[in-house]
Amino acid sequence: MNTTISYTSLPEFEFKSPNILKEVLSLLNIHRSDAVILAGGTDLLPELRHRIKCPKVIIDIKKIPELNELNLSDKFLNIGAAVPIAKVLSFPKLESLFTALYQSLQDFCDEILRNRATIGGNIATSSPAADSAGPLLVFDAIIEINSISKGKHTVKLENFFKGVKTNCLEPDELITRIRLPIPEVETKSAYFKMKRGAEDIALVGVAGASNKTRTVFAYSAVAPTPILINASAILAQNRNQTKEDLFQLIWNQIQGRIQPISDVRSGKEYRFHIAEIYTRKMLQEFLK
Amino acid sequence: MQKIIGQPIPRKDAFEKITGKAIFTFDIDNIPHLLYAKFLTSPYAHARIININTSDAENLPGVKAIVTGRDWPVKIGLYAGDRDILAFEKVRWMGQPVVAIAAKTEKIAEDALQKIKIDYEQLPAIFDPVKAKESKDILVHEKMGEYEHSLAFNPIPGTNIANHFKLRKGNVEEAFSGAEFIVKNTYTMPQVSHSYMEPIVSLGHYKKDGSIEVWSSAQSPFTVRYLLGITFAIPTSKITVHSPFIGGGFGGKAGLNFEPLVVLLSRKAGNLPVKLSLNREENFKSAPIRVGMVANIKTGITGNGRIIAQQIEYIWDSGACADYAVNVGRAAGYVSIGPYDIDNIISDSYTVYTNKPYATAFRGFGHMELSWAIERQNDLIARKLRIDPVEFRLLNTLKPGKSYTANQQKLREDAGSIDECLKKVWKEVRDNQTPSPNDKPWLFNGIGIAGFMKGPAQPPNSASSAIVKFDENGAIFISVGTSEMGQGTITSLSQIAAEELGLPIEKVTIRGIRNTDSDAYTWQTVGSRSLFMDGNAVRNACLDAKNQIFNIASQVLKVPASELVLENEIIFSRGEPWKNLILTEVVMGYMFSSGESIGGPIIGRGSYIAKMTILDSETGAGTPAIFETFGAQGVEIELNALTGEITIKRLVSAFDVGKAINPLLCEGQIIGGSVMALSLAMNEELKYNDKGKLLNPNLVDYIVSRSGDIPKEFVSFLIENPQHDGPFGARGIGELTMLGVPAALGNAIQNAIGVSIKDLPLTAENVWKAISNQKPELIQQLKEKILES
Repeated sequence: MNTTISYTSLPEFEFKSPNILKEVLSLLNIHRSDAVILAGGTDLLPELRHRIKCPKVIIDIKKIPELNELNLSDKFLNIGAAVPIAKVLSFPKLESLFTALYQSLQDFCDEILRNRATIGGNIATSSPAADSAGPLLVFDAIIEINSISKGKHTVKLENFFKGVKTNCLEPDELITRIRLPIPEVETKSAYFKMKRGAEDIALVGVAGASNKTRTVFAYSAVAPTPILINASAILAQNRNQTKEDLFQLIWNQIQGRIQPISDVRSGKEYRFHIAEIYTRKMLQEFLK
Repeated sequence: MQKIIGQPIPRKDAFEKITGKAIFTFDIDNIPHLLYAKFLTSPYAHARIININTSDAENLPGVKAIVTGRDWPVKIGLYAGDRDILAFEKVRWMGQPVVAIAAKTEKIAEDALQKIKIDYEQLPAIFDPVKAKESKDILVHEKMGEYEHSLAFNPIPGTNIANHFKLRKGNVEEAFSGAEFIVKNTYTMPQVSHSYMEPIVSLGHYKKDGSIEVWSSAQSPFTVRYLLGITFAIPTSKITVHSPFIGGGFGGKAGLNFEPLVVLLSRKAGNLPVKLSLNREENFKSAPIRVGMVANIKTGITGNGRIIAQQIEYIWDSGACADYAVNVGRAAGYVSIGPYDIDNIISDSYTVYTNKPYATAFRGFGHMELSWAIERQNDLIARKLRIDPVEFRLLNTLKPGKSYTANQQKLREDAGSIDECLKKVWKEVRDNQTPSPNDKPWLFNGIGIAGFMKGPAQPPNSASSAIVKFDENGAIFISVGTSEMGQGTITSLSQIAAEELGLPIEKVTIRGIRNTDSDAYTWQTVGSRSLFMDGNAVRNACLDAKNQIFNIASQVLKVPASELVLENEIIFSRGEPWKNLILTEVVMGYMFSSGESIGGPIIGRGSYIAKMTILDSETGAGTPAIFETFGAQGVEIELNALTGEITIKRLVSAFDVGKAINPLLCEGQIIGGSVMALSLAMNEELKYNDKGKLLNPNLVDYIVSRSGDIPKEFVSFLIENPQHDGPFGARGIGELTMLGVPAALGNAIQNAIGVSIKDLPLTAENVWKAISNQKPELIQQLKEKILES
């Protein structure tokens, strides 16, 4: 590939737009790594134009009814993999039940793209900076996966990411929905995002959720994958400490896990600093 | 009593644009046998081209022409002819077009480009403009001495200096020795992109009969016509340049860009028309950008706050070519010190080549950059002297009768007032200042101000013209050369005509698209010159038409022409209004009851030419501009010391516009220009790695303000000290609306938290870094306060 061409066209591919899930799974089963899924396309289109991906087949999943479902059932919020972010945002109880997720989706790319972009796509792309990943991690999200070879199964989001833009999905597997357990009453949660303007990818994203028994933090864009850190034990065992000492205990645990890099978007020192500031802010919210 | 001048009339081009009906160059594709072009760019910042093998690409079906630098090895440019149509002999920046292909589809052209093989021999490259200025061994243009350039410039062959402009006044050394304080600082601003909404599109047709027709997103179609004539050795009478509506230019489309390339491709493709549409990435890498700046300033001040000496070195990072940027360096050179009166000045302004994308004009033309340096410097001096920043400036501002170069024509009495602008803005900012919030000790409020001036940087013979024609209903069509790219000029020019001819605004039409065959000539659409220059031309054309109308009416009404008045589409005698004619009876010729007719269709012609002088090459003395618009801008900010984030609470502007022909358009320019300047000041920077590769050639990582970034409150003052030779007293405002914003912001940060920043952009990260370096203990204290809040 010659990198001195700035392509305007897309590479050639076969476009499939099935109406039933079974057909998607069967296409994946046949084409495996030669196929890519189009959920919203907001990551895929630039990758195609830049020839980062040159798939033989593109499978559009927007028309599959069950992948467009968004409902509350069995103590879960179920978000179909093809549901656009704008539709998730319009779900009435999202803000009160899953505040952190609501906040992150409200700040997800821009108003226009939110009509196309999907949580399923955001998770499948597995960018370290994925905006929805942190909030989904703090709410213990479960990823439902389907394929012809293994059938329907689930994996906890915490175990889903494997590295920068890599995850545990096999080439024939499809994310079908994201399941969020309804949190305990009086769970506080929030998402803080550092960005370079009104609409931007996260330079650092910090999500948190806390209730009487469980306090967790999640970090985006400061490690090869979004990461989850459980501070419940520290908080339970150190009730008499000052807030500053509590913070230091938690931060010691976090510091060892995050490893921000310097890139065109930000320096690692700044990312590290902002992660600390947002953790302090989050802890203060939780301890109020 | 003026009826239309001063009215807030909505933009005449608004409806067409908002409804998507306006035609841009990209929309033009209904030309038979149209081919599409793509180009291959250099993978190195500096390399010799050893061999280009195009044979595999030639055999691909659908490929109609392949061109390289050898096909037309002519250097092109307006002021300095230093640019290849396609790289010839060597490449000078990563992203420089090397081979171009015209094919039946864009996809075929791209496929063909993949089959081209080029051998390069890498050369050492230079990226730092300060090092480039001194370098004798790494030269971006070793043959600079052979290049053609306009006589107003002073290139230094054997170096990377494309132009050295000198300003000299008084005796600086002596003045420094008598100064009570000396303040010395370095300020910088990075290269940035114009980020206009419409990427560059050019369509060229080199016809079998030897004539050329071009459609291009070009700000200055007449300059494109002139330079195409020189490039292809064809008389301009055989060249037609169309410039449809332009989706923003900001100077980036002011010169000659890709027009010669599409014409060359068309010539080689059997005279078929060829269209090139840059995508955003190509526009970042291969189209012109804005200069970066390094400014070294040393100021001598007396104990009572009078600046007595200013020593300046401006280094303009022009990238690989300096065609237009030599004039940026010159313009910034003659206004080196800003709107101030200093007796002793030594200023050297160097436009320097580096192995990066090349620079061209950009809204403000060096003045926003130098205002960042001068107005940060003035604030630092005021702090040192413990004088209010505006009080300090007022001790030193340029007043009528004073001059900013040696032996220069003195500032005229009707030039407008910098003092009024500074006072008005500062009072508004200070009266409404709010204290920092108590409950969040990491938030700091601050205010800052900057004053500035700018006139059009154009050659002394820069001219404009206008033609006004009537239809049978007494409506007029005006032909002008200036381009409409969002400034609103066609609306303000319509108002000037309507006022002069006593017509309702609806009866005035100026089309927004340009065609060099049928439109009246103007030099260029740049430098906030159109309202003044083309405005005067339009007014003169209307006066000419009115004279012709009165001559006919005078014969009919038996009233001397000098006694006639034209109002509400009626021509009447001043003292005896019952002696009158309806305008429509005259404009196509008057017919008496007998059938005998006089006159004929009225065609008014008007022109205007700049009145300036060539500047002295050793001292810069002379008259550099036809007017200077003065202005001041102030901001109130809230700064989060822990994150470095800045929120603009209000942005206050004042400009001495002479006369606001259309206050609504002025306000539009002020808000648009301020937001653009905030975006530049707070975010924008072209970032390169150590090989000269542009790291952010996209709108994901090159951050431009979006609607959510626009501050909530703007306050604007239009001061009207008329300039007698301006149309109805008006001066230009377009570029002015950006000039003070970065410095006002830097000054506000200093006011808020006592931290001094001298390098742009003021990103949250950079601001945080500056605070951490200058006040590390503060960050530590504030961090702990989060858990106490």
